[in-house]
Amino acid sequence: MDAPQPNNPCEELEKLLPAYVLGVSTHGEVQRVEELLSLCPTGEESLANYSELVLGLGEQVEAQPTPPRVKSALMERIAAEQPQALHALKPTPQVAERPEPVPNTNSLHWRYLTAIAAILLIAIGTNLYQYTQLSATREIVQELRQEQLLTVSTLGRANLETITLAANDTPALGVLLWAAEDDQILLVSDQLSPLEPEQTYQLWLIGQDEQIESVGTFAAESDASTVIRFDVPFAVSAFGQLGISIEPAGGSPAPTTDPIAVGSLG
Amino acid sequence: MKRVVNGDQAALAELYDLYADLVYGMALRVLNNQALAEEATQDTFLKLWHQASRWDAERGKLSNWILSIARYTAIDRLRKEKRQDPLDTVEITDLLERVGRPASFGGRRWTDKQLLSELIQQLTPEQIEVLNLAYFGGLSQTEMAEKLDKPLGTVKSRVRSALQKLRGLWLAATEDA
Repeated sequence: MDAPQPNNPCEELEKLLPAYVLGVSTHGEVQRVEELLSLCPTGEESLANYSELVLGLGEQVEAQPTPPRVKSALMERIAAEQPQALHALKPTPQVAERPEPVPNTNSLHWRYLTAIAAILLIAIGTNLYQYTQLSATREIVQELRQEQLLTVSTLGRANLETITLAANDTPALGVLLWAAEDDQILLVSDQLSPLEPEQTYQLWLIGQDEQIESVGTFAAESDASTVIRFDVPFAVSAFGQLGISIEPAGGSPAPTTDPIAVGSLG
Repeated sequence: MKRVVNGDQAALAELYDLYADLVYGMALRVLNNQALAEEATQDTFLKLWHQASRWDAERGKLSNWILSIARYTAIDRLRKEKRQDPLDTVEITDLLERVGRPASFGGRRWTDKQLLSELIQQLTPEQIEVLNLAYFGGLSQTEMAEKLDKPLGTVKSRVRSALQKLRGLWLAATEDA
């Protein structure tokens, strides 16, 4: 434990300044010195004295002959940085005023230039392709993230109704979570198998008078639970049941097969 | 320095010729390793190259500023080599910028190398030891306490008394002059 700090800010500052100027204070001590400097009228004078003293300590160092390689390495590093700096600072040289060089296609120099140009073109093309791919991936990720947020938002609704989806004499295939306030439906199932490429699952709303409306098509994941959010364009409460059927890829205007699972609303 | 600020590589080379041995001396003293000291010397001049516009001739000697950069660069390197966290420090030249002018007593400056060297010899060996560990070793007071196997309070007291005594000795010396 350190001794209690004196009440006089200048006394306290005098105690803390030596470590501060040597750069060995703790974070808390550094902050305290900053505070005390504004409270003690002679603080800046002391700080200046100690700072000069520490600078004097630096001058106690004896010069040592530097190996020549250090300078050449340094200048190489600086030269390597220079093209960027020049590009930023200097205007583009007026190349057009210079006579156009006549390329000697037989010269090694020209061959090197051609090869470098080809490599650059390939590199630019590759980068452009990768950039395009990256942009597409980014869009997909953003869409997925947006969908995830909407799903979480739906799950957070106060009045979620749970509808069990099942076929006759079979265990539940999954559940539908219906948010009545904005007709959002979440399908959650780990029992649906992936279909052939020419097939798709389709979710239907079934009314009392045999009115049937498509909610949408979806695919099932092979290695994870299927969670699909549907933004239903109808008043779901006007229907009595929901059903899932297997339809041709792209979906059907009306079910073409018997439902594999049905759930009742309300 | 103006030429360096303007991106003149030849000017930097001239500056290097003037101060490289001092910078290397500082780096070698801190790092005690030739290869690391060479790298720290390069890094110091690279910083100088990038930060040349920060230099203010009215705030003190150029050699002090360069040595200050060299010391912090070398200590930074030393702590990285030892996998120690960087110190929470304020660069001494920044402090002088803040104060706004170099300090002096009786017309003589702290940076009177010969006098300061003599005054340091009047400190106790323990005080010289903590000064060296702090200034050239880049150790925090806690790290010094561990290294010296002394209580933290003792180390803090030694650091404080070392600089306070040095300042007192200087004041006495300049008053006598």
